[in-house]
Amino acid sequence: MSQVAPAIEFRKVSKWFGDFRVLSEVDLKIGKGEKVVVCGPSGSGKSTLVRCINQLERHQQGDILLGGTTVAGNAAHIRGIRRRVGMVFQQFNLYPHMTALENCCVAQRLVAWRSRTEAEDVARAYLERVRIADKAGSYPHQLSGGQQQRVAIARALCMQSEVLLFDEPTSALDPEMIREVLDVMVTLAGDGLTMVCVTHEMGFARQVADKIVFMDHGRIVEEGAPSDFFRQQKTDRAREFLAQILH
Amino acid sequence: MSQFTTWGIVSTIIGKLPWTLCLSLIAFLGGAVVASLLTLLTTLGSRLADACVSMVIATIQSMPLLMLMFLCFFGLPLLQVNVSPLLAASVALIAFTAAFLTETWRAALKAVPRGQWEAAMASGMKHGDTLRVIVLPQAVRIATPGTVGFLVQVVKATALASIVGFMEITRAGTVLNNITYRPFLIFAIIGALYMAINLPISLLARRLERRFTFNN
Repeated sequence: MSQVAPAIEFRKVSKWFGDFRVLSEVDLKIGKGEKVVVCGPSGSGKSTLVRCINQLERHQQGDILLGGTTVAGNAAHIRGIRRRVGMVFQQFNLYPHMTALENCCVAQRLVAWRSRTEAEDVARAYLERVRIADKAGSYPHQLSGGQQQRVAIARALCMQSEVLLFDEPTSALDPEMIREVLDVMVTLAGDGLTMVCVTHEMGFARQVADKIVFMDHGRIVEEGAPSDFFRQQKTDRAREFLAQILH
Repeated sequence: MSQFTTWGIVSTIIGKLPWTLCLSLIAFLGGAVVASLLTLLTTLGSRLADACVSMVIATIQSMPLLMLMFLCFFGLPLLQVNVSPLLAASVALIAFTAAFLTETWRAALKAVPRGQWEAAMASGMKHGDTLRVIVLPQAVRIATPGTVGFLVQVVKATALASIVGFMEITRAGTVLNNITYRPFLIFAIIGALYMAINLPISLLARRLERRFTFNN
C-alpha cells in the first residue's frame, strides 16, 4: 500500500507575505479518506496552509501534491486542481443574488458541464443531505447563518471532489447555530471523503479527526492522533493553547 | 419685435425639447459605452491600464465641463477637424459622462466582497465566468441607483451646449429672451421642462436604491 499517493502532501512548503514568513518548511501527509483538524493560535498560518492546497494562496517554496500531482501551475492547471477540491469558508460566501439551489448549480454547470436538470437533481440531493432541502428556493439573506453555511457545504459537495477543505466553518456563527453545522460535518466524515478542517471546535476534533495538526508561527509544532494530542501535549505552546480555548 | 405670442414662445421652446433629449441620450449612451470599455480595461489586472484609466478620469473630472466643450469646439478645428456644435457638445458630454460612470462602476466592482471571487474561483470557475456570472450581477445592483441618478446631471449639463451655439431648449430660451425680453416666462418654462424630465428619473433612482439595499 505504500505506493498509493497520499491525498495531499506538503513537502517543505514555505510562504511569505512580504517579509513575514507565514509558512516555514511545512511537511505534512494526509491519507485518502483521512480527517485532519488543523488548529493553532490566530496568525499561526493554519488558514494559509489550507488555502495553499487549492492555490487561493500561492506558496513560494516547496511542493504541494494532490493525489501525486503538484498543485502549482498556470491558471488552467490550477482550475483542474480546484475541480478536485471543494472549499467551505468562514464567511459562507454564498452568492447573494442566487437562490440556495442556484448557488449549488453554478459551478456544476460551468465547471462540470452538467445539464440543468442533472445539476438541479444533484443539488437537491445534497441540500437534502445537509437537511435544508425545503430552503432550495430561498436567497441567502433569507437564511440564518447556520442555514447559509449548510447551503455552502452542499454547494461544495455538489462538485463531488476528492477533498473538502473547511476554513473555520463555524467561527462566524452565533453559538446556537454551531451545532447544526458541526452535526452535518460529522455525518460527512462518515463518507470516506478526505477532509481538512481549520477549527477551534475541539469537541468536533475529538469526535471525527484521525489526525490533529497544531501550528504556531507558520510551523507544524505537533501532529498526531487526537487521543494522544488531548491526553499529553508535547509542547508548552500547545498546552497553553488548549488551556485557553477549553476554558 | 413682438411677433411672439405667449403661445408662440412656449411652442418654440417645446419644439427644441427633442434636441435636449437627443443630446442627453447621446451623452448618456455614448458615455456608458466608453465607461464599459474603460471599466473592462481595469478588470484585466494590468496596473498600467489601471493607472492610465485613473489618469484619464482625473483629467476630465478636474476640468469644468464648459472648458471641455470649448476645447472640442475651438480646439478640434485647429487640428483640421470640422466640428458642428452638436458634435463638440456630444464629445464633451460623452467624456464627462464616461469619467463619472467609469468611477462609479469601478467602485461597484470593488465593492463586491473578495470572498465572492474566492468562492467562485475555488470551485474551478474561470476568471471570465466569475466576473460575468458572480461579480457583475452584484456590481450592477450596487451601481444602478447612482447611474440612473447621474442621468439627471447629464440632462442638466446639456444646457451648457447652448454656449457653443447648439440649439436646445436653453439656447432657444436665451435667443427668445433677447427678442421678447420676457425672462420670467421663458426661463420658468425651461425650468419646468427640465423638472418634467428629471423628477421622474430622480424618483426612479430613489426607488431602485431602496429596492437594492433591501435585498442585500
